[in-house]
Amino acid sequence: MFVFVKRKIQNKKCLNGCLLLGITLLIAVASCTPMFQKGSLNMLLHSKFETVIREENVYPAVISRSARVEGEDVSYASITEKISGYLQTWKKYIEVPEQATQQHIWIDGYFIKREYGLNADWMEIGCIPNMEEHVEVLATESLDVLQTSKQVYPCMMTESVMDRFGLILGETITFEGIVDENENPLVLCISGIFDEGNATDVFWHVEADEYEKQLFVDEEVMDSIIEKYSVSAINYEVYYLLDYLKMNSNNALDMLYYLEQFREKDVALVESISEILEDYVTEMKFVNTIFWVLELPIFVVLLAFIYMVSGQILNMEKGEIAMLGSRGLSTVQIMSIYLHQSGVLASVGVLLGLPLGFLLCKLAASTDAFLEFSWKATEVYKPTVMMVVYAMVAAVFAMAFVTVPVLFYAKDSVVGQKKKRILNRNCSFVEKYWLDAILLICSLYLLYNHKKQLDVLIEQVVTGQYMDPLIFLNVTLFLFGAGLLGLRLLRYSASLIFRFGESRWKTYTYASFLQIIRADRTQRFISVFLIFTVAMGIFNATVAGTINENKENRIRYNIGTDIIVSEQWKPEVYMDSTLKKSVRYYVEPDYQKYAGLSPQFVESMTRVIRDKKIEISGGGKTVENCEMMAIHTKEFGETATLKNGLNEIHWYHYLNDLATTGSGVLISKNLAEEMELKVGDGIRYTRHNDLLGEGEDNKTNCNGIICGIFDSWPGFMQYQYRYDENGKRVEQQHYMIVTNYAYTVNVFGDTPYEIWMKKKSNTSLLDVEAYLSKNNIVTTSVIGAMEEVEQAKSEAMVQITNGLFTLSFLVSVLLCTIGFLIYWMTAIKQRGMLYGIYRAMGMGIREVSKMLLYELSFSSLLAGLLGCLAGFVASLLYTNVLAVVYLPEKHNIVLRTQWSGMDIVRMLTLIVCMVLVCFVVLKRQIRNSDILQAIKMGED
Amino acid sequence: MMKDNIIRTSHIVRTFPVATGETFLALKDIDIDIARGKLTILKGRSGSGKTTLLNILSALDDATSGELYFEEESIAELDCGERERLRRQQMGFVFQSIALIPIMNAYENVNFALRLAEYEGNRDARIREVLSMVGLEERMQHLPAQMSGGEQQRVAIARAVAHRPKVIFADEPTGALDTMNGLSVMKLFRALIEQEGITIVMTTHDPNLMEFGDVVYEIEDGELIGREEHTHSL
Repeated sequence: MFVFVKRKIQNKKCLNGCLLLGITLLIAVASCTPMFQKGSLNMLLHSKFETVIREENVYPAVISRSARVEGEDVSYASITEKISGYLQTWKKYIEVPEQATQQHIWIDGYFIKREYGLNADWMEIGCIPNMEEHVEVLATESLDVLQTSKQVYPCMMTESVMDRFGLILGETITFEGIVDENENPLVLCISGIFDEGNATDVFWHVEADEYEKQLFVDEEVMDSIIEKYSVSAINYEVYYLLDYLKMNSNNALDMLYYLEQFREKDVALVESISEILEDYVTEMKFVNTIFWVLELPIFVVLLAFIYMVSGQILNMEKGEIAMLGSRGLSTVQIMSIYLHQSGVLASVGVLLGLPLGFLLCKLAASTDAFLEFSWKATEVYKPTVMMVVYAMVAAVFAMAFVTVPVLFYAKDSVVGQKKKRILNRNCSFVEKYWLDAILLICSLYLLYNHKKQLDVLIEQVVTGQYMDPLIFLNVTLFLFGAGLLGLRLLRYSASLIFRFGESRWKTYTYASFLQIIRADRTQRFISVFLIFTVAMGIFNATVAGTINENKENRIRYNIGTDIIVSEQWKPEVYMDSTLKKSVRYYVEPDYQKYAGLSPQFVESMTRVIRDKKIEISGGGKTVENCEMMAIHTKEFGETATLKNGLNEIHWYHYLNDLATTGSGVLISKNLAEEMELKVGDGIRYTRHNDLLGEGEDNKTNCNGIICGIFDSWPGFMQYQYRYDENGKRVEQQHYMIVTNYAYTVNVFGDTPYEIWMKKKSNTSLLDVEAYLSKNNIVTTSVIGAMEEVEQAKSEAMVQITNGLFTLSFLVSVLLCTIGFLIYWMTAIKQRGMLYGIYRAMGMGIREVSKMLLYELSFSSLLAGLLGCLAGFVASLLYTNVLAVVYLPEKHNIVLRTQWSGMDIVRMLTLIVCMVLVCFVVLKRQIRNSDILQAIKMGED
Repeated sequence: MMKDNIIRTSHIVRTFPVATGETFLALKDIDIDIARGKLTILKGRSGSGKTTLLNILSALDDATSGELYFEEESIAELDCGERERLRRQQMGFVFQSIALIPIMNAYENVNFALRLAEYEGNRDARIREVLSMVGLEERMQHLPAQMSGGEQQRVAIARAVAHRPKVIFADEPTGALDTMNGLSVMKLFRALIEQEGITIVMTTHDPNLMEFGDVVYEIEDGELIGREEHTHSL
């Protein structure tokens, strides 16, 4: 059997090679699925943790427990033992490895008696095990001095504690509330000042500066204090930091389960992971749905290709099948031959498809946009055992698609086949019953429904309840319907042109039009295939372009400039002798430190004060939680960016208006509407001093005159969302006023500001960060628009969409080119006798070639153009509905379809190249054909 | 006498290379005259060389040596385009394989030949005329696959004769047909000669058909071994 199958394959090397290609690609795409899906889910999970880091500036994967232990027999050892017990339990059930563990043990605070200065404050004594490995000691006092008396224990303090309390190195501090059995109070001496050794050290989950009232002793001293001073209440907290990069789609659900168990059994346990994981699990369903709906068209195209090629083979072998049947072979026996044949091809396909699947996954993972690749890290995409399972399933499907059609051929006698051939010439099922129109109508009706329910769909997407896969599948339905309708139009237009010029056509034109009008099923199939592929390519390019472009525009708008640096402002303290309390205030850090950035890395920069808790009164109304932005108008104009067309006039006009009035303010249009304000009206805006809390006494008022009303402003996001008590998402208007920087500082004093920078074209965020580090500038955040855009492009959903759209397009183009070429080559082989007749009757090679070129052009180029048209229409109709899945929230930048002209040019170039290659190959085939041999073939 | 022969050959030799590196002599020094307005039959067993000779006579193939004259014009002196024009306008073909264009119906098949020959008269009238002549006026809209073998061959004859060629070459035109259909085709050939004055050259190995021929040449192993003439009354 195998020898027979081998000969069968060898006999039609080209077609079987083509079939092998289809099967290999099917297996490759299928086997790439679990790897890409798993990698994307891991990316999603990691990005969720990283978002928390970026937005909240805290380590996100932490399990913590804090408690207070009281009792006569409480000891340092009993506390550490307790902590160790909890840690062991957590480690036992949670497989994710530990990143760091921070423990903190402290005893209650007492008022202190200082050696120098005032005694009004109280302080605590704490201990952080292993702290010494993670600190940098800034200054020390000789231990010899300290150890002169055994009654004095050494302790360390942070710089912020030193600043806050005005403590001095070497100063002794007496805790009069903590006494030993002889009523001697506890005395500590400050032996050193420390800082966190490395700013990136995750050990410091709670930063040293956050222990605002604490003096630190080592473990031995703490143990000794607890014992000697009979401390009966000890507080502890432990932070178990997990390596979130080791969390993945496999262990996430287990972890969620165990964390829930931990929380149920231990009320003191606090963890920040469950919320992220729950969010992830919700989105995971989304990602899986998106994955399948985006992959479905690729599988449809691949299976259709396999069906087409195997159909071509079977069509050529139908005589052979009929002969085998006439020799007594049963249908099962005939099918078994083809099952063996497809089995051999599928086995080779699995061997080739698995490594190809790995490469395809890496290729898809490295996309930044549609058909754009970057060399970004793709380590998170790792091969899995499931790839083999998927490959096997794909192989079985491929074998079924090759073997099952044999059933229809095996049942046919030679006469039956002839009858079928006659029927094939007649109107197809699709055309007869207007299936193309029905598909289009169904798709348009679904679109109408989706558009009608767009708000509900957005709500479902945002809240993570559900994502209707029909939104995506509907497009496939439309494109398929459009492909079939395109074929109908192709034939109708060919008939029309034929009728129009029938009497004038040259012979070869006459013959080629008849060939087009009376195309057989395979030729119709390839035309539909071509229309579908081109339309899908254009649609995918448009959707990917729209998502990427709108996402990028929105990110750039939200940030407002290229780079924003927020320097850490440390409040200063002075003792107000009249109020008899310390008062905190800000002193502006040296802005000149940034001057060095200017010539090399930055084109322009400016200081921008932003406060999102402004209260605005005017026109008898008050609005709270408005955003205030105080700017230097000239510098701001040079540094910030705003897309044209978002305001009625260019935003520079607003800057000019503001610059001419010191107390002037610009307000957002929604605020003007809410408060019924107009240009020239006066408003009062109120700020709280963030160092003094939100009491009435800490408010400062300022009056302003409205000198402009804007729709959009760099960094102004009009729409914000919150969840009400029922968990329903509520859209909120966000309001903004823009004031003059100098005027604002004059009224409210120095307050922390952001430094906005417009970078030079060759500058990266890393350059700026390196400069900041080199100049010892401590920042609370550094945001780069370009980096944020790149981050957004790596989001799981965007990555999957870009990756799969690119993948499906490349696969389709490959199949289309090869399928197209193979179809025509075999068609010409089959038409060998026909061309022989044409030549024998006196038709020259040039005329036969022209005939072929017309046929190719009409059925392929026109199909390509129809595909473009279908792609355009689909993009116009469906892009905005689809894009809400990725950009569901309202924004100042309204979602707009982005046409990617370059992608369309690429695609059309590809089709023209494909047709040209085909034409050259086919012309050579015709030239090499022998008339006599061709006629003889007919006799045979 | 010369003008009564439409085709004349002189010492035609045709060899083919074979796998062993040697050559196979398919035609040996053939001198043959094809009389105008007559049905000439080339008879012989399978492999005797009759189809090879027909292909050379119809300018489909080139002789290895020797001369072929069509209306006293040497075919060897014609370039590729001129030969194609000759085949398009002056010749008609009927093949054993019938060789109708499968995507074209009977009407269109005939129309195709007329267009190819740049027929200057009323094409529609001519198509109907020739299809009526072969008895297929009622089936002119049928595709070849919808017709029987005999009907297809009659369409092929209509196509071959439509543009009023000077000569029709028919290679085993009855080979794929049953006896009844074969006889019907031969009667049609005789009628064409008598009504249209066309010259027909055909090959066959069927001895029952020899009586239809005006001149019968017998070929064996690439050599002409006999010539017979028959008289047909009008």
